[in-house]
Order: sequence, then C-alpha cells, then structure tokens
Amino acid sequence: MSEKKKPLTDEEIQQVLDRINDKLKTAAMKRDSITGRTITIVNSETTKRSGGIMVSKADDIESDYLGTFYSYEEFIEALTTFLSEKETSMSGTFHKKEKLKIDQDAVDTAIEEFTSLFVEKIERERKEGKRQPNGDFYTVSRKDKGSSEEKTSGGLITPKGMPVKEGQYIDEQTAKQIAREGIVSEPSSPPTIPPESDKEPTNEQEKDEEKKPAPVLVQKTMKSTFKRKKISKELKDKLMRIAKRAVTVLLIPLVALALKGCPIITDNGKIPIIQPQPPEIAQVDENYIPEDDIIVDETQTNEEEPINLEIGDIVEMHDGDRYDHNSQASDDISGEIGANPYREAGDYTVDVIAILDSETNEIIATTQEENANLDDLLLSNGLSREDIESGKIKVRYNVSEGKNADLDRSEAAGWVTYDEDTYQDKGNVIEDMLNENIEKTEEGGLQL
Amino acid sequence: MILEEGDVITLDANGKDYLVIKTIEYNNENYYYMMTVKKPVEISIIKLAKNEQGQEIIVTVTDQHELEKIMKLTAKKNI
Repeated sequence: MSEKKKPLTDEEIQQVLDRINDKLKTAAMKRDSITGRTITIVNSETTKRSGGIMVSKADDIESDYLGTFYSYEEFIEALTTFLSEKETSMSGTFHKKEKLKIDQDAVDTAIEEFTSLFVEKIERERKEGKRQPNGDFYTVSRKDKGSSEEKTSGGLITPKGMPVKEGQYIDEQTAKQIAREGIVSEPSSPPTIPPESDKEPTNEQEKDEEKKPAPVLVQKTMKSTFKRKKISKELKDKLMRIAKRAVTVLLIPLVALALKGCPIITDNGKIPIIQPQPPEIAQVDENYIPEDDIIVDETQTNEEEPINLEIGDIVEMHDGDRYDHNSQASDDISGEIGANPYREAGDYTVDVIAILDSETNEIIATTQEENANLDDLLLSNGLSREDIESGKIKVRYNVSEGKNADLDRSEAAGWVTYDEDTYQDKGNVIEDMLNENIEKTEEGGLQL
Repeated sequence: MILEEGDVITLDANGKDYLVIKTIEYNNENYYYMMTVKKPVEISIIKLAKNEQGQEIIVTVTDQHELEKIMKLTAKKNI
C-alpha cells in the first residue's frame, strides 16, 4: 500500500457496499441453510468451482454481512478490496466509512474466524472423504491486528498421479518445485494445513493427539453414488419391520460391544465374530472371514447382552403367538395372535412390565414409567436375571396398539409371557425374511 | 436426498442393495446405519455427501471420535 489513493467519495463507498451486497445476494441464492456447512459455488460463465462456508457466530460480530454465506474466494476478495480501500482512504474519511457499519476489528476478527473455520472444515471433510483431493492450489490471506501487512500462506491438495501421497497437503514451495522439476520425494514440510503450517503444535493439539481414542469401529472406506429403490408400501412396511428387528438383534449388541471396548473391525465390510473375552483382552480374529452366514456370535449376545425391553419398545407379534387376555395373574392362554381382528399380527408397544412369582402368580412389581426397563425393575426389587432363569420369577409385558397398527387396538392386546428363547426365535425372523426377500427377488416377484 | 429407515439403496460401487436400519442425527448431520439386504450381513455407518460433480454419495464414517459419538447416541436412545 505504498501508493495512496484519494479518499473515497460517498458514491464510491456506496459502490463498495453495493459490490459486497451483490456478492451476498449471489452467494445467498446458492447457500446452504446450515451454518458452518461448506458448499460449492460454480461460476456459470467460467464453470470455475469454489468452496464456501457459512460463517457462524455472526451475532458476536458487529457487522451486517458476516453472519451469512460467502464463498471463500469472494469473501477474501471482497474484504481485501474493502480493506485496501479503507486503508488508503482512512484519513479524513473514516467517519464516512462508519456508515458501512463495519469496523476494522470486526473485519480482522471475521477474517481470522473465517480462515480458522474454513481450514477446520476442509480438514474435517477431507478426513470424512467429502472433499476430493483435486489438486487445487489455494491461499489463505490474513492480517494481524494492528498490522497492515497481509500474510499469505498456501498449499496444494495433491491430486492423483502426483509423486506424493494423494490428498496430502504440501506447502507452496514444494508444490512449485515438484511442478518444475518433477521431484519424486516426500514433501519438504509435514502435511499440515495452512495457515497453521508455520506454527509449532499447541498444547491443545498435543492433548488432542493424546486423547485420540482406540478404534471403536474400523470401517472400510467407501464412497459411492447410489440409487434409491422404488418399493411398494407393503414391502416398505416389511422392510421397516426387518430394520427394527435388525436394530434389536444385531445393532444393539454390536454397539454395546464396541462401546465396551471390544474393537469391531469391519475390514472387507464384514463383521467378524468376536471371541467372548473380557473387553480389556478382547481380540478380533482378523483372519476369520465369514462367508455365508449371519455373522453374529449369538451365544455372546445372549450371555452378555440379554434383551432388556423397556416401556415404549415395539415388539413384533406373529400369527400363533400366545397371549393372556388382560389378566396378568392368569396362566390361562385365552387367545392366539391372528385369531381375532383386534389381535392381528404386527407391531405392539410395551406399556407395562410386570414381575410375577412363578409359583403363586402373585405380582411382585410392575412399572409403566417411561423408559423403565426390565433390568431396572429387577434391580429395584432385589431380583436378577438369574431369578428368571431359575424359574423363581417370570416376567410379563402388557402390550398395546403398535405404531403401525391399521386396526383400532383401543383395548390392550393382553399379556404375553416373556420367554427369551421365544424372543430369540423371533429374532431369527430377520434371517428368514432376508432369505425370503432373496428368494422373492430371484423370482422377480418383488421390486427389490 | 434424505434417507429414511426402511429405505433400500443400491450402491453403484458394488451393485449391492442396502437397507437403512437406523438414522441418528448428530451435530446437524444425519448418520445412517445400513445393512446389506442379502447375505453376508454387512453393517456400515454412513452419511451423505456430494462428489465433485455435485452428485449425492454415501461415505462411510471413519473418524473414530465421530463413530464413538454416533454409537453412544445410538446406545443412549436405546434404539
């Protein structure tokens, strides 16, 4: 800024403001509505693509444009232009610029915040595979508070075919050297993200590294376009039931094991059998590649993670399932699901859990509290699963109309006897239904 | 496109059909548990993104912090 310009006239100031507003309008038309989320803007004339971000914490900044979207390039360009003009016309006209309602501190803060958010988002999206290594060279410009010097740092997201690891950031100097000389070597500086590349790691960064958790789930990295299947309502309902059952039988145990510290490795996209060992010494048989079976260690599941129904859970009742008709203390089986239009097969909601004395059928405890579950009820009454297994007590659930009920099940459906074996048998419905789907698919009878 | 539980999608990468069995919202983003329709059973945690061509794609979640958060949320909601 060695060459001083004449102070801006009011008209010129208005032009700057209009320019910013125009950019705002253009960007706003294509902006994503979620703050902090990056989007891509494509210039319709040049087809050049540029990334952008919704700037958050707008309310903290005394400026009327920083809370909205700017593409990165537009943002820097607009601010740089504005700053340079403001800088060269500071004397004597500053009071006029106040009309713009933009102050230098706010702009500096915004640049810093924007840059930080932008880099953070790039890094995170790169890890998540959202951002393709594309060979884009980019720069980040900023000005330190109290300084008119503009600092610029840059880097290259290395594309395929480059003689360094794909997707790695390399600094500007190395990038140019590679482009010029085609050097096949590691980058001259660690793959850090500008503008932080010239800084020593902070204590917080080091702490973050230390905090890096052990893998809870290692997934095969996969990115793919996809198509949604058009399916009939009937099949959709069926698939919903399969999904619910899969969540109960497969997902809950899987998640529970993972969170207990058992590493769940799904390399090749398959869930291996986990040996029933204590979490701290749990190991995954990485050589085991299941070929043609439902890959769940059901023994482990049954022993470690017994089904723990709670109030509000949905249970699926099938034709032929027995129930007691509104008589929780009775052993008389008064009906079968499917034999009565008010007791159709389908999804029912657990609304009462009761523990009964097996010999006398006397009620020991019941609960209807939201989210209360069997284990809680057992515990609060000094009982345990062992008491069920030994036959000392039995558990019954009152189930009422299901979420997907077509019929008016205004009356409670009755009591069903809790039976883990029966429950597990029902769990196999997933496999049956999967097989059924496969068969029907192969026959072409379904739209799958 | 937002996926829903019970949706079936076909991945162009491998031609396989997957059933969306659970959705979890975390940090203003939707995460999906998807399971193969045919054996062998595969379960993956994915989310949606866009590729350079602007097409919607599925991406497996690989960040351990993110995975742990999703799983804890899943467990907390008790499905």
